[in-house]
Order: sequence, then structure tokens, then C-alpha cells
Amino acid sequence: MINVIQGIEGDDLLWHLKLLGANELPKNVYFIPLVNHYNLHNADWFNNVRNQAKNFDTVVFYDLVHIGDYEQIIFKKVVSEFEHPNKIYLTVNQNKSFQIDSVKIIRWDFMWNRYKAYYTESVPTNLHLHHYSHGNYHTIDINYHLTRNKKFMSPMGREYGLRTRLYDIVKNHDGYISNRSKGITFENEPVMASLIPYPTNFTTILILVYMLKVTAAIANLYI
Amino acid sequence: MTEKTFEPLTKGHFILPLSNTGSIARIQELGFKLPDFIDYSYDLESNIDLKFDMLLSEFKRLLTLDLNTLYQQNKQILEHNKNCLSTIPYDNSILEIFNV
Repeated sequence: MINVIQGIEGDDLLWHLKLLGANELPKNVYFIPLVNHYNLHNADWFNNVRNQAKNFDTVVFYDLVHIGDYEQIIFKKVVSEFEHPNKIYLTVNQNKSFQIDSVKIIRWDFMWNRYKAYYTESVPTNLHLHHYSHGNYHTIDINYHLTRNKKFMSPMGREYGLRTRLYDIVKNHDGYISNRSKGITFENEPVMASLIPYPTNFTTILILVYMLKVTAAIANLYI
Repeated sequence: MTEKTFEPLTKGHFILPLSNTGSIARIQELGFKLPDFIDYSYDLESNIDLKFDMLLSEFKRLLTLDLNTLYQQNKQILEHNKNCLSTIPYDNSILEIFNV
């Protein structure tokens, strides 16, 4: 059983590895998440990681979601300075000129795998996949004849259902703080995933404005 | 790259992504097709500020073009990309860690 991968970006990694035919990881490999999704990366965490890594033949640092250039510089420094004889950096960064001395770089398009799997695999009911809402999202009825519907959203409803509410929460903060790092998750909440397309022509807009005016007029009668 | 790139590609949109250097080459390496009328040279620029300026210039240039006509002329590319969800396999590069 694979049980050494940690961090939100690896929450569904085990399942994805099985899709590739790997049911277990090499025994002597220690995985270190570079992205601080759970807000756990403090000095104690790092000391613990450093001590644990000594017991393994190989250390795999990983970022599995896209990170900006600034974060990449920090990660590069951490990986470069980490004392271990066998270091691997597993990254979604496909820049072939991205290299670190004495570190083997493995570029893996994990996000492609995740995206493809969402559309082509059955989601197992016993697993809590990343962004998966435990079946509480609504079925999506895509009408490709409507231009705006082509914009679509993920089947997990995150773009609309989750993020709309997420933004309501984070707007009270100075900067972006992930919900998970604050212990807030929406996994058991109903998620809306259907989309009413915006009007794409002027006639529709006029009709909608007229309907709004009628609704407002009726409402005024009862106030 | 994330689903923010793959989503529009597989839904039949043209893209103008700002990502890690080399992402455009990777998208094509995976099997997606991109149109000739978009200049993606900004993707090779490693200076992020310069890259953004180049992307912005390209965006403004595209706005001056007849996009409806270009859309019709490049529909084959869009149709190809729509099928990529089933034709492009999973990336199994991670399996390399089993050989170290």
C-alpha cells in the first residue's frame, strides 16, 4: 500500500499511479511536497522531514500543480541546499532548461492525467479525490449550441460552485489563503455545476432587462 | 500547466497561456495543435515581465484581426483538439522513479 505521499497535491496521487499500473512505490524513496497547501511548512516540519529523509536511499521533492516563477526559484534553492546523496525533483514544469546541479529532474504532466481522468474514468466512491464533492455536484447539461456554454467548467464544479463561495470567504483577507490551509473544505457541501449562459445577443439582453423591470414592478405592488 | 490550459483546448478554444517557459512546446509535444496566426514566441522568454509584455502585445495584435474568419479557417485544429481527451495518453513519466 502506498502511504508515504502527503499534501493536498498528492491527495489523489495514489489513484493516479494505479491508472498507470503502479500499485506501490519503491520502498526506499521519501517524498517531500514543496507546495505548502496545508500550511504546515514551518521549521519543525522541515527538521522532521530532514531527519526522516536520512533513512531513505532517495528523496523525491515534488510540485504537482503549476507554480509561478518566483516559487520555482525558492523551491530550487530548497532542493539544491537539502543534504542528501540522491535527490529527484518531480515537477509539472516542462521547461527543459530548468536544471539543478546533482538533482535528477523528472517532468510529469500530472495535471493532464488528472484532467483526462476526470472526464474518462469512473470516480471511485471510496476515495476523496482532489476537488471531488462526493457526488453532491449537480449533473452538468452542456448545450454546445450556446456559445457561452463552451466555456464550461470542471465536472467537480470548482470553478463555479466552489470558487464563488471561496471568494466570498477570502475577500475579508488581505491576501489569498487557501480554504484547506484554514481547515475549511467543501467536500460534503452541495456544489452547483450547471451554468446559465450569459446573453449572447442584444435582443436577449433587452428581453431580460424587460423581465427584470416587470419583476421589480410586481414586487413594488406588494411592498 | 493545469486544467486552465487543457479545459479550453479540449472545448474547442484557441489559447494564449502565460505559463512556465516551454509550455507551448509541451502542449504540441503532447499532441495538441495550435494555429499559425497566433505568435507564441513569448513563451520562450524566461523573463516573466518581458514575457507578459510580449503576450500583451500579441493579444492586442490579435484583436485587430478578423477572428471570425480565422476561427472558420482553423476549425480543423479545434476539432482535432476536442478529440485529444481520448487520443492523448496519460503521462507516465513518474514511473521513472521506479528505476532509480
